[in-house]
Amino acid sequence: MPGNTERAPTAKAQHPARALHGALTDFIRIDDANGRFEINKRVFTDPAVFEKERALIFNKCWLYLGHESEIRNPKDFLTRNIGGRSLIFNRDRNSKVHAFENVCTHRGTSLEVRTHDNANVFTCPYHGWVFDGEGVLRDQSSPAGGYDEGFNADGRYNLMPVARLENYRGLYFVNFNPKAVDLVTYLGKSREYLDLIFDQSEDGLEVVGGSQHLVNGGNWKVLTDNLVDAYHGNILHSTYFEFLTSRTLDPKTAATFLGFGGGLGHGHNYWESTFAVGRPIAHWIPAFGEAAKPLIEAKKKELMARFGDERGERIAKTSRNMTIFPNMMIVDNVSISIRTMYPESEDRVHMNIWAMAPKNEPDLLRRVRLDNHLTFTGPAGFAHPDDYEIFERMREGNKTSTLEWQDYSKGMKAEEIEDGDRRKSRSDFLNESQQRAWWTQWDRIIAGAETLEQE
Amino acid sequence: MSSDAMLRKVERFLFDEADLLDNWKLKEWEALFVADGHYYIPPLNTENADTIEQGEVLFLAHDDHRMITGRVERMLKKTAHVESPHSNILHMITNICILEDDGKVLRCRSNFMVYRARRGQITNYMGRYFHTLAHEGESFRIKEKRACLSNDLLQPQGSIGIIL
Ligand code: FES
Ligand SMILES: [Fe+2]
Repeated sequence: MPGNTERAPTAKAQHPARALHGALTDFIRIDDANGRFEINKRVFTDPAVFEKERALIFNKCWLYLGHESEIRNPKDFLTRNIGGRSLIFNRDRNSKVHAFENVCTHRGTSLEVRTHDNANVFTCPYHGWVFDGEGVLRDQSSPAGGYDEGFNADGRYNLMPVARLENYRGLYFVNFNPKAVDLVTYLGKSREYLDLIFDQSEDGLEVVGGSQHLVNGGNWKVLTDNLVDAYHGNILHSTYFEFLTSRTLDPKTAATFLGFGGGLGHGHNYWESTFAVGRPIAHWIPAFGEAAKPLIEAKKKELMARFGDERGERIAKTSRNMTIFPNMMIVDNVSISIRTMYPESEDRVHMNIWAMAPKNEPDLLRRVRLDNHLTFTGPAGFAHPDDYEIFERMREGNKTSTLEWQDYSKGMKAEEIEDGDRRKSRSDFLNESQQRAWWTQWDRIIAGAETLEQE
Repeated sequence: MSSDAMLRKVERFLFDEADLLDNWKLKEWEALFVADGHYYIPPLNTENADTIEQGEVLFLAHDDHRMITGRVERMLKKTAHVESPHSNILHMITNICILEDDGKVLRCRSNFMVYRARRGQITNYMGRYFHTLAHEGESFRIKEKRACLSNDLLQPQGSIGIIL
């Protein structure tokens, strides 16, 4: 196994002739001439690397918080752990959306333990400080007296808003760095793919209640990697594809997929293919039932009328998975779902999966959509549990073995690269261009070459 | 039949069902269902989990008979990696009570604890079953089995690779 027996390089001098796309940290080894891209296993196992990620990635990148439909009404709120901090995501009585640290400003007690609800105020159980939906300290109901009149005149005891909260098409992201570039700039070209998903319904998309929240013992990057790794599908998930054949009634289903994958700049990545698993949006398969067929065909007609044949066909028929760097993924194939992978440590990660659906979707289509989602996805799907098992096994393997370097070279020589930037690449979707694009951004951020701040 | 005798009959049925699952006799388990039988796992942290429908919320499992067959076939393959080789599992069932019985269809509730031992780790799933059973001769067939989990987070289980 060439390369895997060498010690991990510690000095950059080991790469005297860095190619244009050479790595900046010693965690990645790139050899363009021979088409090799390798990652040192310490990125998955070393707590010091995790600390760096906390500081440079999770404290600097835009992180997905939630969708506007999850706090539909005034005074709705939910709590979520985002990038190592507990946050309240809420809509105040005037419908303005906020994100606060979920902590009482008196002594740091965690404030709201409910996962979601509708509430006029947030009350700390310890000494009874009361905050309204705008985060303003309204009352210190402890026995009167003891505080000056202007105790909170400067607002210092109000709830702490996160530094930045912005949204794109109802997807709310936070950034803990006040100097961060704006969200739209950060998303860049990935918006083209987000639009392909969010254009599916004129009424907009909404999150369906009942998230799938689970904890896994893998490294978070193994999970983000897995979702754009298209070529493990037929192999690890052979049982799924055997089942799928019985649903689509086409024995060649898995063999006919065509598509591309790559980087969209800034570490965002995607694959897009004619992955014919049945799309509740506008691609009917026999398993959806005859009753759903006219509804799905009408939906397709509507898409064609709205977007013309080419874009309409692309929205209806092609599947896509994408990542907004670092850890928000949207899956638009068997269903539409949003995933996040927030790590607690280098070997513990929370994964959330939310199904999305067009607002005002007919009941029958909604059921068909969610049933199709469950064939593949989630803790009891016919595919995901095997992925989760692999993440755990990778932790076991990496913890104990002497294997130092892991290979990400698939299709490296065949990929097209724009502007000499490996983060903007493209090749067959069964290659690993998408992963290399992501890792190149990871490398640049960890090396300090990418600040993600305004000029 | 006295209500006590009916309770014993239900108990016998649930224990036999659990036995099939614990012994990975999944084809035999599948045969307990009527032709349009269902197996459901509603999402965690759901009020009225015993009646809520897929569509209002996203379930964890929402199997019609075709999905039950698919699940069973998949789990009996060596390539269903999460359960290959099969884990040791034990279903414990208690607190059984009959909710309704019109002589044709009987609904019952019970508490469950399912233990799964795999590679030195034990995980458990706790919750309540709601079975809708069709009377058939001396026994029953399952019209609907609904496993409502009380776990509030899938930790450390991560997945539900086995049948609850
Ligand atoms: S800690 Fe919250 S009121 Fe004192
Ligand atoms: Fe997978």
